Amino acid sequence: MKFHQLMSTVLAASIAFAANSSLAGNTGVAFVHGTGKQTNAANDYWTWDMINSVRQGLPNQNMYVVINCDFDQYMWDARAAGCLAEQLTSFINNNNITDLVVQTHSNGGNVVRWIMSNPTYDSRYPKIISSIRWVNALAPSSLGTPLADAVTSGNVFETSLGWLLGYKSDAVRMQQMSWMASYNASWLYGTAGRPALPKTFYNVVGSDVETSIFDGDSYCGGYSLNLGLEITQAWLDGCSDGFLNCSSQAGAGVNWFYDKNRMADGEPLSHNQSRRQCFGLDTILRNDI
Amino acid sequence: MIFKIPPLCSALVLASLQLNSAYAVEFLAPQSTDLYSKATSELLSMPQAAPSLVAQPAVDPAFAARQREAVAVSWPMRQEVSLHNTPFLSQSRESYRKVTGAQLNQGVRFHTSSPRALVRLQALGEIGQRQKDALNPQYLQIKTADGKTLAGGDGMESIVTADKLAKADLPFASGTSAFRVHPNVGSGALQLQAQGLDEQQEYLLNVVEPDSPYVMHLQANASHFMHGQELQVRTQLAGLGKKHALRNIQAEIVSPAGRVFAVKFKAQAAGEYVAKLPLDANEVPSPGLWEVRLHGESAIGTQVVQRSARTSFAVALPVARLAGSAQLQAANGHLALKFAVEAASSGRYEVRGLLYGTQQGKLVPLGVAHAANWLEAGKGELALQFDRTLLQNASAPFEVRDLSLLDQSHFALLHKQARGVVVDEAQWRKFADAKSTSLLADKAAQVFLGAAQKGGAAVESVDKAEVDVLAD
Repeated sequence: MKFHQLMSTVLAASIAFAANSSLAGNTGVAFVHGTGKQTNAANDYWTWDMINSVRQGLPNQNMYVVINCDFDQYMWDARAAGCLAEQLTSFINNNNITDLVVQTHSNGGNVVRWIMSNPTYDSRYPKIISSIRWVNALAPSSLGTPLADAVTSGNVFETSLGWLLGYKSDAVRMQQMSWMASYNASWLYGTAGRPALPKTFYNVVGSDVETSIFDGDSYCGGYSLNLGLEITQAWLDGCSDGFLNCSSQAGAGVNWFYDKNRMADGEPLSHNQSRRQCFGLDTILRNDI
Repeated sequence: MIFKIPPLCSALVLASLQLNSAYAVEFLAPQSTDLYSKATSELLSMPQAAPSLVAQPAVDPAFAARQREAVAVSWPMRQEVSLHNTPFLSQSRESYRKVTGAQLNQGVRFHTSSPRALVRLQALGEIGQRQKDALNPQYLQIKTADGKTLAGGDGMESIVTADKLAKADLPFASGTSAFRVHPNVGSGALQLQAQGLDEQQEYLLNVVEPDSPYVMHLQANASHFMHGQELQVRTQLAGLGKKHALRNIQAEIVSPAGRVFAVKFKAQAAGEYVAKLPLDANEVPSPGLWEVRLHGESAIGTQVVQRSARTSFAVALPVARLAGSAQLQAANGHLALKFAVEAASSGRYEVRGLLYGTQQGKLVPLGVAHAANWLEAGKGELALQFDRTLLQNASAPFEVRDLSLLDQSHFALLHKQARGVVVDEAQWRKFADAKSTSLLADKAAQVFLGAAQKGGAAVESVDKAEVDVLAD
């Protein structure tokens, strides 16, 4: 580095330090959706009831962002983690956020874990990580799911490149169990025996699905969504939320709580309910901010 | 704008030039369980796709610029880690096969080894056509093992039509329906029959037996390989305390770019079967992993048990390597290690490692550091910088473990060494009190400190036993 560059670096660092010292930061919350390409995740993925309830816990209720990215891609893809980094960076910079609580659901946990495990992949990542207080990972697919294997096996039968013709989602391929095992062993942190993440990743684990048409609780989050989940239990362990085994949801980071221990009347959270205003989940997340 | 240089800064820069010396530290020899390239001669350039064959995505200039930015970070990490990874063990209680409409019209036999099997039927072919070709289980007949014919949904439970499954927001392909075999039907050889299907139409028949005692195991001998290494993959069918002989084994290995390698599993002692393949990863890079796909069956008493299994692994083309030398650079109490890297292809590379230090005579984990930068083909270097806050209350000797080199441009693990570099007490003493500003000459590493924790009472301590209880 040349002499004048060196001095610019020294001065820039001093200015940045002064700026940080003089400005008090803000607390913010970010909602990071799961698999799928979202253009209006507030409406279509989380529902406004959920978001409006959670953000009441903020000192300034306007300090929230709902992420809309293409999480049908591999977690590292520019349309996935790159898009997430872009939207988080804008939110942090525009609002001087220094204390960010991230709420993720399902595969959104993997995309956030990618950023926290690979801070050098993108020069925007370190500031995001520094701003994070902690991540609340609602039903994260940290160890993958046998359902992703089942879906992908169907496509394998069509051609060796079946995913090009069948249900095309690299995110689903990525969430096959052996695939996640490989990524967890190399690119991702936070699973058993692996280095800890730089910020804490707190799991909320859904452990059961109720689909009785006689039980009103089955309708929270949408009855038709829960109906499919009962079939998927054939691929899953006894403890699952209908899409992910409990072992996967608890597979990285720290367990915050299991659904039945904290939800109203000990209700379980199916995979779709853990992103909706069901059984007091929103209140717990609100009070956590 | 012109900056006037204060005299103190000038003095610091001069001091840095004077003190910016580095000392070689001991780079331990990789062990047989480590992943690495032995020599420069093993390095290969990344193959390029023929321009006419591949639609090139537009490169985002901002992303391209970020690819060339040096980024270095570290953070505290005090927990023990496992330095050796156990490859994933795939376990299957299901089978897959392709059947035609003609076969279904005549009746397709499938075998179950336990009641309440789940049967999934997926129309294959044109996406737009699938939903039309979806099978409604209500219109299928089941012939039981003792010859009874059941129709109109009899013999089934939990029927989910393709329409209903599509609304469930699950990622199954369109045209997929499913049902579970009613407990009264039992198990054994069952037959599924349809009427009037297009004879050419193909379907996937997936039979899942969650309650079966028979499990196919499939496991590779490692989760990560280098090009040229030999893959060994093992399988067995286990159940009721025994291993069962397999027949009609069909297996293939598929690379990320779609190349298919046929492999043969050979019987070993104790009911195990092993296939081997020297891995050729010299292909145009594609995202994703290599896969083993296996089908087999076993005759157990009067039953036939059919199983399909898949597992995956990563194979790296050796486009770069750690050259086997590292230099210690310490400044103001930070610990920096500069690693020599040899690259056959330009790209963004990262070195990462865990720092262990000595506390009360024992080596304990202190922190994690990563450093990445764009390297051109040839010789380069990457410097890990462990922040001084990580070193508090620890002394030499220090050791960098789980030392890795990653190809961030192609998502490949190029080097992974359980024990990498040792900084002994004499080397460290030379630097510990140094006032060198040499690190200012590089982009300073960022440190992530103070991972916030929720209150202790708020966090559940859940062990496996509790998971099992919840599962009941």
